[in-house]
Amino acid sequence: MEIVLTGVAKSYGDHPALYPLDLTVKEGEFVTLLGPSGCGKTTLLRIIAGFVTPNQGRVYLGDTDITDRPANRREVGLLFQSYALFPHMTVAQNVAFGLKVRRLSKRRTAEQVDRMLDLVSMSEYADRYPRQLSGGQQQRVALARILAIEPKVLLLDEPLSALDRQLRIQMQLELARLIAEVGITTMFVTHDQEEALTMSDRIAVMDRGTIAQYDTPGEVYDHPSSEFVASFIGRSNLIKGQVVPAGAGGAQFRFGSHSLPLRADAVRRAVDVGEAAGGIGHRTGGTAVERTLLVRPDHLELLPATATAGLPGTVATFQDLGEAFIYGVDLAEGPQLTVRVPRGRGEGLLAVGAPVRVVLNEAAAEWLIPAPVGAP
Amino acid sequence: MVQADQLERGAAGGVPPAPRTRAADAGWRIILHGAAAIGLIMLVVPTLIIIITSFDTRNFIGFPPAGFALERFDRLVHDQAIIDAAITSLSVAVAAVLLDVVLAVPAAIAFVRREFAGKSFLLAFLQIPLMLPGIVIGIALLIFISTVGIDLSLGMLVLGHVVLTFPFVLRITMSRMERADIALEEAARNLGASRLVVFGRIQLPYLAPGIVAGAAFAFLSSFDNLTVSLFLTPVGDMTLPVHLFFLMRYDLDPVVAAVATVQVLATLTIIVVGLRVAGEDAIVST
Amino acid sequence: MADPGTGGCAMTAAGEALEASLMEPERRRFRAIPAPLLPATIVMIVLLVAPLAVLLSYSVLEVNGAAVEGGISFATFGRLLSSRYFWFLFGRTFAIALGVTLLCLVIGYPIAFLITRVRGWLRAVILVAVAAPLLTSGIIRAFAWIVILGKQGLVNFALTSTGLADEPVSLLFQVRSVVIGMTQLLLPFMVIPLISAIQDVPAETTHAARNLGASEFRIFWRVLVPQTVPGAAAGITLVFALGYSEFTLAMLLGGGSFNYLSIYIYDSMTSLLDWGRGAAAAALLLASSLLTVVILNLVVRRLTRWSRQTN
Repeated sequence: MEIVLTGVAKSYGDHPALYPLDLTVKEGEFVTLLGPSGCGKTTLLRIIAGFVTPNQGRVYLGDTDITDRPANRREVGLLFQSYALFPHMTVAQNVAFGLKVRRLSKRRTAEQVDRMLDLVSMSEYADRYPRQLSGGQQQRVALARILAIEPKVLLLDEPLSALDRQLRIQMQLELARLIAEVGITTMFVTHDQEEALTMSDRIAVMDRGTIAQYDTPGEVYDHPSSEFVASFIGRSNLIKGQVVPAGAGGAQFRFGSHSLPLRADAVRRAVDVGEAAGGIGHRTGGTAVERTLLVRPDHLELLPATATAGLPGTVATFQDLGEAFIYGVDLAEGPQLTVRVPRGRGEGLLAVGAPVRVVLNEAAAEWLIPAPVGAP
Repeated sequence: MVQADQLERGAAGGVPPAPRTRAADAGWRIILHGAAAIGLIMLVVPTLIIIITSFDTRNFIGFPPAGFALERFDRLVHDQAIIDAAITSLSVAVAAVLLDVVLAVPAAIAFVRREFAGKSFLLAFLQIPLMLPGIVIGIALLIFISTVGIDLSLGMLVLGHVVLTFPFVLRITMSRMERADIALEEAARNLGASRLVVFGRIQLPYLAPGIVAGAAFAFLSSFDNLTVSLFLTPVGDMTLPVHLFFLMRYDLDPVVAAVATVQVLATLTIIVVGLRVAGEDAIVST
Repeated sequence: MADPGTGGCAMTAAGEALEASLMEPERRRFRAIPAPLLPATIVMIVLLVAPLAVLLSYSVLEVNGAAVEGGISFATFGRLLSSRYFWFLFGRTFAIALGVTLLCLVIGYPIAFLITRVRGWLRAVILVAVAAPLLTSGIIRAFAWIVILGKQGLVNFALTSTGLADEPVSLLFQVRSVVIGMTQLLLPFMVIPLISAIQDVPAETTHAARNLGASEFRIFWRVLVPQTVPGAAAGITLVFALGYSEFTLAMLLGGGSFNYLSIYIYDSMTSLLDWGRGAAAAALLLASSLLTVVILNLVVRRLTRWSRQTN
């Protein structure tokens, strides 16, 4: 069942939590609402679940307008961050709860409960109480409880934030697999961008009550539509500079005292996304414009100071992530760049203060952040 | 404690060392412990005395007892008036508590889960009986009932007790409700439960220990009440405290000792059982 | 696990809790008193507000015996307030309540102090000792004191058998028996607030005083007690209010002719059947009790400000 939100907005007194927004989640899609705390993602989820009433806008499930329906008549399943398992009921009773409410016969209830517990691999725990289960197990039971009522849509409110890192990664895969198996339309809320990138079909990146970008993980990562999205997803180098037209529809990017040729397709895509079609020179009438260039740290390379290629700089900061090193390199003439060097490759550990050269080539200059609305 | 020599070493300005206080400390401690001991003795001894006295064999009240027998308990069991009074007290208390629970539980939930104009005022209002002397409530009800033209009856007495004990059940239930996890109620709603189902299957089971604690408190309050009962008790159908009151005023029957002991033990049992069921919520919220 | 499931949006969590309770907008637009509260409210209004109003009215109407005869008249109040006996009664009640309060303070403080300084089973035992009397009925407590203070009671037994007295001393039906009985009754109401008050005092202040060489008494009197004044005030007002309107103990330990306001009211209502007087006296009891509590609180607040300045 698809979820359609039109013009939905919510304010608490003077404080706006959500500005009017539209959102469509296609049938069977797994969409993640991603954003920092306070951005409104949970509010949006709870509007769909019926626990928050929007000030404006409508919510549709398929063709049905559910905006005025009370929370217990929406056929959506909400998985709470705390799982909210009923402590005074066994696992089986928890899973059966929604079925009992719907007056399903004892036999069919039992069948469905068995089926669901089997689906989440919790059949042997049917008679245990929630307090006897681990976090991961509780979550599976919570999922089973929701899926048992066969909701049209699944809503998950940061279900994995309570788990430790290893378990979390494991549960990401398991959840994704389970949901794909069931094929249910899913909306997932998280502030963890890795999680969003791993699990989603599409990501809605939210910032202070609005949707900044709504696209596939690949697009959001490679072609973020704003600096906010670029810096929220993955590590990024946002280099402010100027785009100068340079013959035959191409362009150059100038920052500090450096100049970098921009690939025509990169330019064109950036230009097309936020601006009118056609080469940037065409658009701006031949004059330079201020833009921000996005360069991912893993697209940069470090060379010894003795090399001739690359831009000279000094190591300012250093982080050992285990699987890679993260260097902050102050360019001699330019901003500080973050460079990610996989462990085992490259020059070995560089000390803070060491001179180094950063290779920033055309291939790495993949994406220009589109201009905000109203800019030249 | 600061040593005198340490101070002398650096005392260029001539600040004298702190005087030794060991003797004064000891003296003070004796006074302190002494006062506390007196207080604790005052608190505990009377109850013990009652229990001991109830085994006395004489036919007047005195201490120490002359003998140890169950004579007075035997008299108690055969005293129809006392037994009737006890049963009356019991029925009144049970009825009052039931009414309390029916009134207070929905109220407690509403106070914790809803917002509305005048909420804090209403909450204070419903607890006014706690601040009024029992005697004032008693005579107010007496005058009111007689003005309206209703006869004194056990039913009226129950209502009077409800007024008195309702705030206890309300407070204790609210205290428990405030710690309820709203996510559980939302999850139940999400799964399709109506408000009634949420109340019966989720909220009530959670509140049960608190309700029991409140009920126990209210029960004891009602059973032991004299100030209101004295004015509202119908002639011929007295509650136990009222009966004992008149007994003690005009003719100190030794059987009262036995009654006292039984009541102390019964109260103790109720408290222990109540605490078991309710956990520490009971203590915390009072 | 009391997390309401709102993730990191803390600011709107309160707003959403509000929303959760106002879920069906069409029915709750008025924000009026919710239905579940109506029965309790109605009961309280009918069984408490109305009777109190009637009580008040009885004090300002012409009442003969138990029935209203005429219109507004302050004659009853006039009679009371011009009666020397009534003022004597008033003063006595006040004085006794005050005395009991002071006694509770003097005895209760050490107990509360001890409780905060002791751990484990001993602490639990003391707490039980303090709390348990709360749940025995007033009658039973009065009875216990009769056994202790009566002519053949414990105290007289001790006095006569050790030769301190030649014949049993009359201890009951006097002020002293009422005061002792009430002190025992009200001690827990003083101790329990005091425990919180003492526990709220930062330990560092007493440690600092110790470090500066103060004696334990000085620490107690100059450092600890002043900081507990607000908490002590709670206990004081509670004990005073309860003692001031106490009936059962006054009647049983003081006797039917004991001079106490509550007994006077009881007599007016039952044996004398002068309901107008009873109502007026009750109104005065309430008013004076309230006034005293208010004044006490003001005094405490003034004291606290003052002691904060000098500390």
